[in-house]
Amino acid sequence: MNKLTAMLMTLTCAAMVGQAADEPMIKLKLDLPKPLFTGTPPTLKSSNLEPKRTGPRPDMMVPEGVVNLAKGKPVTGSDANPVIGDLSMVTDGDKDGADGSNVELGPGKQYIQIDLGKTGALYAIAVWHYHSQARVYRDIVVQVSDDADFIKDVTTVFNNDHDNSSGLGVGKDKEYIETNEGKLIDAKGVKGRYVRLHSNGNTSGDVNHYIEVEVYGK
Amino acid sequence: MKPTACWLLLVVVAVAAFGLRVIQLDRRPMHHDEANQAVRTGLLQETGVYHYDPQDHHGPTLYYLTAPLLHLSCGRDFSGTTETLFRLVPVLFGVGLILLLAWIVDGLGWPAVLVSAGLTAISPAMVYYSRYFVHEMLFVFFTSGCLIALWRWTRTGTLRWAVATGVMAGLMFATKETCVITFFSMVVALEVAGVWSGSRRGVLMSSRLRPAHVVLGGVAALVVAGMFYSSFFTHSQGLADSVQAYRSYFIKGVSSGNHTHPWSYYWHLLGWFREGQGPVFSEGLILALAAIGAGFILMRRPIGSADPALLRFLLVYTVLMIVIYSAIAHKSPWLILSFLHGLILLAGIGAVALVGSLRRRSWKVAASLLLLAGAIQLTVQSWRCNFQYESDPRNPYAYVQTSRDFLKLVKRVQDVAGLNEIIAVVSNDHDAWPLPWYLRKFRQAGYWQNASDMPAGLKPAVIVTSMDRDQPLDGYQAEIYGLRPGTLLNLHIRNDLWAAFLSRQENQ
Repeated sequence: MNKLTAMLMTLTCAAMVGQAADEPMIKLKLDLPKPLFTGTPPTLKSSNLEPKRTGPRPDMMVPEGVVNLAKGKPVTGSDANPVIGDLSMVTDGDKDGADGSNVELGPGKQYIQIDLGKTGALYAIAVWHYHSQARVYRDIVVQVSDDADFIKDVTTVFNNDHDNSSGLGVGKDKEYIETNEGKLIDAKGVKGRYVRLHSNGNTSGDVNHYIEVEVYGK
Repeated sequence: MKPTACWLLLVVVAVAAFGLRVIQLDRRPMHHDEANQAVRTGLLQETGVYHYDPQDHHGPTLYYLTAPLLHLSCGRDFSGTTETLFRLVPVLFGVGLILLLAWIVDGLGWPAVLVSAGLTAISPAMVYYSRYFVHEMLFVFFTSGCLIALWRWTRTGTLRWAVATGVMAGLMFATKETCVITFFSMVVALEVAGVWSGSRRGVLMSSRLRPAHVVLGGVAALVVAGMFYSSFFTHSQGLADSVQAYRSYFIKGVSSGNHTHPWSYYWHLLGWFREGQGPVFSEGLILALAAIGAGFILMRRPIGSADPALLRFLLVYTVLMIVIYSAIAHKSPWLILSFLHGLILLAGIGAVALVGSLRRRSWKVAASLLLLAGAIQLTVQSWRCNFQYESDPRNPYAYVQTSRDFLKLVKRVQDVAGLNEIIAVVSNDHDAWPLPWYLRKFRQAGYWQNASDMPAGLKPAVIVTSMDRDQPLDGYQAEIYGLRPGTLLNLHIRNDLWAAFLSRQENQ
């Protein structure tokens, strides 16, 4: 009986994986804002920095039917009273790099959190911090969870905090220069309702900015 | 108001100005110019030697007037100095600028003096650059001293004020090469104001100024300037260099470069400045009151007990300074102080003239309250400039300012490397500063133009590189830090030190 159950379970799992693998995949298309400066400055190179890419960004494949679940969803954060703008700007669909499109959070470690309304399978997260000047935003950690307090069942999908200064673990991802393309993170189908994005100032100052965050899933 | 009460009020304003200037003096990262001046002062502190550089760095007074404070605080040990110690010097001169006004009370009247003192105390530009270790605040102080002494000399004709004028002029000459603009404006204004006030021969040629006093005043100026430029009679070449310097400064002034700005640049900074989504900064209150003061002077309307000849002199002098500074292609925001000082004096006159011209008492009260509200708003801006946006490019006076992120680089170097470790900086000339100031405690900090210039086999604990130099380096963990807006630096930490650092982090 136990063997039969185990076999059935194995077959069911295989069928599910097969179903996921067979799921038609499409290229994720992002609407990019107008560039305000062109690419990574040519002299900028560092072993801890994503190398300058030549050509377009490689496509990210996502299952068909994936949509931006974050659009218009409520945003909370560690800085309830931002220096400039308000947290709703993070999911308002405005990705323009010009003034008036970003929210500025206070200095040091800060996070924002998007409530997607219900648990979904997340495949890609795109984030635009600031793209009118070549900057690196520090200690970017992106986490997904079903727990609004991010205490249990937390999955980290991106972490470039290489010295663990945020206390969320040492990250292996590299730092990157912000551009109009934003940072596209592969969420690998992780399931969750809440997405939390951490940062810790930037190379131009202590404060933290967000223009837009998009969370693609279904 | 009785003179005693006025004196008391002036002292209260000066104390408040000191308070606004002195708190959190180490809050803003050292600008590369400040760091450069601090390191040069440190050389004087440690070795007792200073030689004037005719190509750059301006005059000797800043170094010689700061060195005693450093000696008192930490002897000959430059590594023991702090930002606060250096910036205390411009703070004292910034407060002194207010107290100097006491010597011009009989020319402007107490009300105008007190308003000018108040505006000097709270003007965002005045506060910001009183907390900035460069020559500007010293120069404005000596300029004010020279203006006051000159006025008193032309009024009294005494030797005492002739010599005082000479001493102040000598100090101006020994502080900044821009003194020639001020001297020119002063002389022209003196003559124009003299003719305007009915003197056929102008002021300089009037019988009140005795030729012997003019000569003695000139001698005083030369002796004072000569003392500083000759490094107190130990370096005679400095005297010739002090004159030859004008060639290079003239070329800088007229040539185009990173500091070339349109004629309207200073008006933009003072009148209405908003960068991005940052707050609006405006010293419009001072500009408006100065315009009112100028209007009353031009209309020859009496303004309290103020001396009309002095008012005309101040108007012509300030207008000339604005025109000349606006015409020079090379501009930097701290140069505003040279004519903002005149504008503030005119604003004091304007405020008194405005309130005095109103007939009804209720209107006077309303105007005074309006001015008070404007002053409060200016104070709030000053606070923002110095304690919220002090190193933010959205601050009109934070010019090519070192980013706060740079302090994280310094902290990281201090966290991973001991004071005896080798610290290497591989950088172009522009991006090396303010590192020499921040690395002053490290006994083995070296500077190279290229990594290949370093001695073979040298494995420094950390290597700071500007982005246009060779990278990455094998055996090092790299980190990126912001130096200034748009300028980044790489910090390379030797792998063994990086591993030890991470291990310490984990254990904490």
